[in-house]
Amino acid sequence: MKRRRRSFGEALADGTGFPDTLSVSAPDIHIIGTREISIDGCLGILVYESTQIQLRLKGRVLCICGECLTLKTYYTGHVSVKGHIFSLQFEEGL
Amino acid sequence: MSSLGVKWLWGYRKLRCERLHSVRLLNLMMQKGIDYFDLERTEEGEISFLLLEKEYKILMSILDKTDIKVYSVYCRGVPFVIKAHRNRGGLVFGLAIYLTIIFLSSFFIWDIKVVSTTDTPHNVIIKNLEALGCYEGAFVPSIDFENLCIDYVDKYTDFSWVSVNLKGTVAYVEIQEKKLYGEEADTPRNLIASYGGIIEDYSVYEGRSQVETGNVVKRGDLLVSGIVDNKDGDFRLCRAKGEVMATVDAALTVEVPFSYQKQIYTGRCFEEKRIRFFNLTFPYFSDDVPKDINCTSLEEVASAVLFEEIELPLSLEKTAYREYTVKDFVYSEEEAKAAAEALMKRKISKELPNAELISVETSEKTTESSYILTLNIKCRMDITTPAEIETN
Repeated sequence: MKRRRRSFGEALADGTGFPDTLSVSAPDIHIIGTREISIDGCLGILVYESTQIQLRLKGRVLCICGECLTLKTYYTGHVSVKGHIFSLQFEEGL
Repeated sequence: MSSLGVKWLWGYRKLRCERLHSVRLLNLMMQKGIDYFDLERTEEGEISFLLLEKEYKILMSILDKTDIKVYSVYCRGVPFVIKAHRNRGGLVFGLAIYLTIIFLSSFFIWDIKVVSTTDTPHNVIIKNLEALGCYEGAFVPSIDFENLCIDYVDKYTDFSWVSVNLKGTVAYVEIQEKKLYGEEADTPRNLIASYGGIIEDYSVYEGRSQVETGNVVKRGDLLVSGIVDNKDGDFRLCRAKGEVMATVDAALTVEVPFSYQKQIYTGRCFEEKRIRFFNLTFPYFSDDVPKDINCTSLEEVASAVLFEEIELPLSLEKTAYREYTVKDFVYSEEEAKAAAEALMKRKISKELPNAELISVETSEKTTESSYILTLNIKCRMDITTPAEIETN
């Protein structure tokens, strides 16, 4: 099985027991029920549709599927998505 | 609401972008740090959002180098209002004059209100203040409110203190009249007889009784003394209190002349109308009031009020004159009798209050010029009346 290389920040977080959110490059994702999700550390929007929003994070892509999805705030790396969220999927990034 | 107000001050636009470039536009704004708000997406995939005017200029300079097209839906805010009216100099001038008038008017007293409860009528207090330089229309910086209060108390000795506080353009006056606390309650006094009669019963709460049941007293006799002997032979003064019930024979007489005069209004009315602004009066309507007539006058003042609360220093004054003539009338005997009975009722309630009537003998006499009604009343009442103890 291929072993994924971890960054120095991830290794430091694991070793010290600090939360991953404090490490430098990890995106911070908050989900409130199934209606709202806010992401810090977003690098760009790949797809913006009412049923699917794809966001580029560091090293991966977050795919949000649902209905009536809208971007509510979007500035300097922070994204807030509102709507009926059915699923979140992480894919290997660009 | 407050953030929308701030945005309105800076000016903002609503922009629309087609579906084809919407994602690119959002990514571009994120990269360049351009903040937007109220992002909406239509079913067709078009996006619209609001952008401050200063951010819009930055965005336009960036989009000039790309093929992304955005469309302005509307513009709101102060910069656009100014731009739309930039050729209307009169508007700005009028606004400047308005603001100047508002600013200058704050240097004058528009209204004076007395907020304390006093026995002295408030208009008397306001007139007193006017004599000291504090009046409606006075220039505020010229009034030293601290010295005003001191001068008022020095000049009008019936007051113990006064305070004039200016809130905006209204001067609120708080005032305290002098009260002799305790002096009335402690003043030594006797109780003497207000009527002559036979003592039936007495109760003395303070002082020394000088009468007993069955005594006959006449008007002015001492009933309860305020001078009380002490055990050591000395004496002390006190405020006599008590009740002395006596049977009194009182004769009350009322005389009603047959002929009398009465004011009859002729129906003619005259009016004078004025506008008052602070202390300035401008008459704008006046009937010619003949000088040789008798008339009563009635003044009405209607002040301008803003929002049902703020009284402006602008009022309409109207003086109405009603002409009357004085005519002679003659009572018939029946009418004179009815008038005499009415007068007698008032006299009894005034001179014999709380009296328990035992018997009343009525006698009537009619002369050439008047009707005389006399009542001989036998009643039971408290005959005490206070009298000061004279100390030399």
